[in-house]
Amino acid sequence: MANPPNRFRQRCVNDSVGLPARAFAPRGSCTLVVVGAVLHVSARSRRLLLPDEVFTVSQAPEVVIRTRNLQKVYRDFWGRQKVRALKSLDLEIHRGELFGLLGPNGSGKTTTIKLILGLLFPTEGEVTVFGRPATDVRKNERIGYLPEESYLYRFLNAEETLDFYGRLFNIPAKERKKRVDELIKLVRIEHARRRQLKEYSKGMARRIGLAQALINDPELIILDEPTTGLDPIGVREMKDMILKLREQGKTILMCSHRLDDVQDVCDRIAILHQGELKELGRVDSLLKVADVTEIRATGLSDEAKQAIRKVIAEHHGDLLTMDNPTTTLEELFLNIVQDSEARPGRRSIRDGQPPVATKEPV
Amino acid sequence: MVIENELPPFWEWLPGALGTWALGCLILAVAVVAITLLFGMVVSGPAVAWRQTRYRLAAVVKDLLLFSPRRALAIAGLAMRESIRRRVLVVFVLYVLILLFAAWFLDPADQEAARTYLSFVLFTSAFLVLVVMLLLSALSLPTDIAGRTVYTVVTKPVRTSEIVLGRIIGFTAIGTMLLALMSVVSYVFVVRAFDHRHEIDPEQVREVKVYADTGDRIDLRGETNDAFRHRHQFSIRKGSEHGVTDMPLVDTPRNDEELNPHRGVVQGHWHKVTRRERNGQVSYEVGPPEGQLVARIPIYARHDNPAQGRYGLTFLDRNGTPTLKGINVGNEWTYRSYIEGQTGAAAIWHFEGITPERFPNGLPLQMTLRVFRTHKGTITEGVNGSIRLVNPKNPNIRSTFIDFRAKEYSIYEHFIPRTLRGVDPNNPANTIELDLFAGLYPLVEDGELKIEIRCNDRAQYFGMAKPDLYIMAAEGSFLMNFAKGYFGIWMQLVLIVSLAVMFSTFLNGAVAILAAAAGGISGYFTRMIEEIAAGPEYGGGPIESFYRIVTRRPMATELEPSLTATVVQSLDYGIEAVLGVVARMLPNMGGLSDADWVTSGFDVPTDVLLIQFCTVIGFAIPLYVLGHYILRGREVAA
Repeated sequence: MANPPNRFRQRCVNDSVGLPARAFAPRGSCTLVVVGAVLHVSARSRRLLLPDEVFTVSQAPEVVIRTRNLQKVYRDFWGRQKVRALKSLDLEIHRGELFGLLGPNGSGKTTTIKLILGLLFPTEGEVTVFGRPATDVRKNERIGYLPEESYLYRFLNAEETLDFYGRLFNIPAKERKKRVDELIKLVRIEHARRRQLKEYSKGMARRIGLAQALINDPELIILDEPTTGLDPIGVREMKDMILKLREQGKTILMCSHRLDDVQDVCDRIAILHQGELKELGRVDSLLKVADVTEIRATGLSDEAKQAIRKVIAEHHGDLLTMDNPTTTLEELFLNIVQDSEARPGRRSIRDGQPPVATKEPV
Repeated sequence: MVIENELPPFWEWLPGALGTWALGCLILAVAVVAITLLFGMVVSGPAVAWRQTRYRLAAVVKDLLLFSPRRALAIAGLAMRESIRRRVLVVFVLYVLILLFAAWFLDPADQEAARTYLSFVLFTSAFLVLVVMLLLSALSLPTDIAGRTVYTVVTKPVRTSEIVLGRIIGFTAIGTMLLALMSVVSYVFVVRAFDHRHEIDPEQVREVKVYADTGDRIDLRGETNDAFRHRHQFSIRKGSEHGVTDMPLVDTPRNDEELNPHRGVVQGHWHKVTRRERNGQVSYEVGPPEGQLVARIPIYARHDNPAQGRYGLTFLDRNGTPTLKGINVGNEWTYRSYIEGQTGAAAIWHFEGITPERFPNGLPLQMTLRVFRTHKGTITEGVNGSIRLVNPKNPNIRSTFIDFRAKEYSIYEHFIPRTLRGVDPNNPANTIELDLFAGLYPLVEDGELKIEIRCNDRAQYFGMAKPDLYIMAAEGSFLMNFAKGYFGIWMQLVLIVSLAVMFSTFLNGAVAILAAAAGGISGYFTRMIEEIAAGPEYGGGPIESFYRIVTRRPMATELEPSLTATVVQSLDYGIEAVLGVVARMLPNMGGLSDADWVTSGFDVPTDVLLIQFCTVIGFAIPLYVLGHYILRGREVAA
């Protein structure tokens, strides 16, 4: 569902105030760079956009979520500090990104999401979503949220659930009905559309949860543990769905314990531990091992492998392995957690730069 | 039915009430903002608290202004679905079951059966609906917060004002549905309970010669068979087809129109009797019971307007001098005044709107006079008094005194016929026949009439206020009045739901239920709280009483002036002031009930309904805004 051009134009104009501007296409379009020209193609209609439909925004990618010195202290009834859940978090999530928030239990990632959604109020600092304070309900018009568990009304059936959430967006009845049908098909629960949610399995409840998060065709989707409770096939489907949403140009903030999920789908990640940001950057750069060269090939004979070994030796290289030389996100994550526990305090973060390999003395 | 407070006309009540309401809202708003600030200061310091409170107030106002009815209705629809899926309609089934077994303990043959039946159905439905809706509405939001379902709602563009109002509307709608179902079943139950027929054996009917002032005639008189453990005497004038049961054997009316006002009742009702004659065969048909389920419309004395010198009730003191107040005999309702017996003292009611069209046969008067005895007298016989009708435009046109006997705590009914003996204006020593509306000397002129009451027993007193004497006008529809009774319950429902939803915005389920129940129940005792707040006459307030207990001082003696006494009494003044404010801020739940009117067979006046409705709205609005304010400042995920 594309935004009306006028509304979008207004937003872009607001965003570009005082900043150098360049041509930019509305949401749901892709840009092809041809020698000497920039063409904007509508993803939906697959046609060239007219100049009138192309608007200007700031040169930097639009920041969808911004936190500045965000802190959260939980207090008891008497105002005494119970726990400092978040310590000075600075974060920017840009339009079209699939951003992963990682951390062990109690690291502050759910608190961060709740602060972004306005479910909690910051003790210090600020959060803005689409340039508005997190407590401003108008931001919710452009947000879809899938909670950690399917916190839905169990006495409603799937149709009633989606219809109810659709009404909260003031979607007209006709459009709402169409959207409900589309989403029920998308999450594949047609066979149970009139069954009360209390009769749903956990996997089905996650699907309807995702459907309700998409009822307004949001620009920003916040997914809290989206694959929890799903079987391997469900996990795969969920990941495919997330990637499909990214292809549609949605901004996605995802928080998960399942590191492989994050590694599979996220563009950028932030790792939190004990309420502090420990690492932030692109997944591919963070996972890249700088001084190791990986060559992937198929159909090599033993002689060819021997020849490769020889070539490496001739060039004074050390052959580490001939198998798949890769690291995992899990390894990186655990390293960071161990590092953090060994040396409490803030860790220097270089966004987009691979971490410098360090060896701790045994 | 005794009206304890004078009923002001709605439009005269409204300006004063609006002023009080605005003041109450202001006090509430200041108190709430002060508490928020204070709490914020303790937790985060003054600067942050001030900033947060300012932001919160701005957000609250903004949310109210940008309120979306469609979203509120979506939340209301959800609340209704929630109630229905939680089997709230079981309450209706339970009510029907109660009615099915009610016949075991309700007796339709009882003299006060109509009152008992109506009280029973009104009380039972009110109790069931109010309790169930209180539970549902107090539990809904805390359950959503505890179950975190609220996360998926507040992360949509929903404003807290819509969440709170949506819930109030939703639960009120469900309660309304329940009440509507119950009222239909109750109406059928009550009407069917009293529906019975009698039969008349024509052979038992006999002719009786009646000697009356207006001429002798022959009546047909007889008795019905026994049904519902009673039988009726009846009387039909010979040659006429229609008659009624339970006619007094003396004082026979002169025409068919006069039959009804003169009728008596057995077990609170009477029947119409029709005589039919076909092919020489005579039969008698007895109609359904009448006079039991009624909605009588009383006409009260005109409303006071001191600016124009118009008063509904004035007095003559013991010397016969006009005055606005009678004597205060002490420990009684302050607004009732008393007149002394066998003196020049009198109470004079001034009526308007008395027309021959409304009262073609005469004036059915009803009085609820208080009797104050300075000596025991003949305690079983009541105190003697007399009534006199006076033309307000020409006081020389007046009736002779009509004697009556008033008893404590009972309603005295007296029918003033269309023509009665009066004083000859030209020669007060003579009496002449006067007509209420016609003739040379009509007692009623331009619809106005004065009715004068005197007490005839020496050293005894009659006490009265304006609503204590009224004329019964035409009967209204019982069905409509029954519906008004349920409307009264509906208004209580709105208040209970608003209270429960408001408390549920910051308390968890069980505590919210208790708080709402406490608020509702104390609403039935506002008068008592006001009396406590006004300060007890003996022994002081709670602190002073405690001080007296500890120091073993008697209750009736004054405390000697000392610092302790000053501190104790100052604390009591403070408590009493707070209690006074609280009493005024509590909804008067008892005052919202129209059950007394309905069970007493009186039509609920429109002014009363309007006042009650505005009172409910006046409470519901601040409760809604307060709930919204609290929820707006609450971290639902904390």
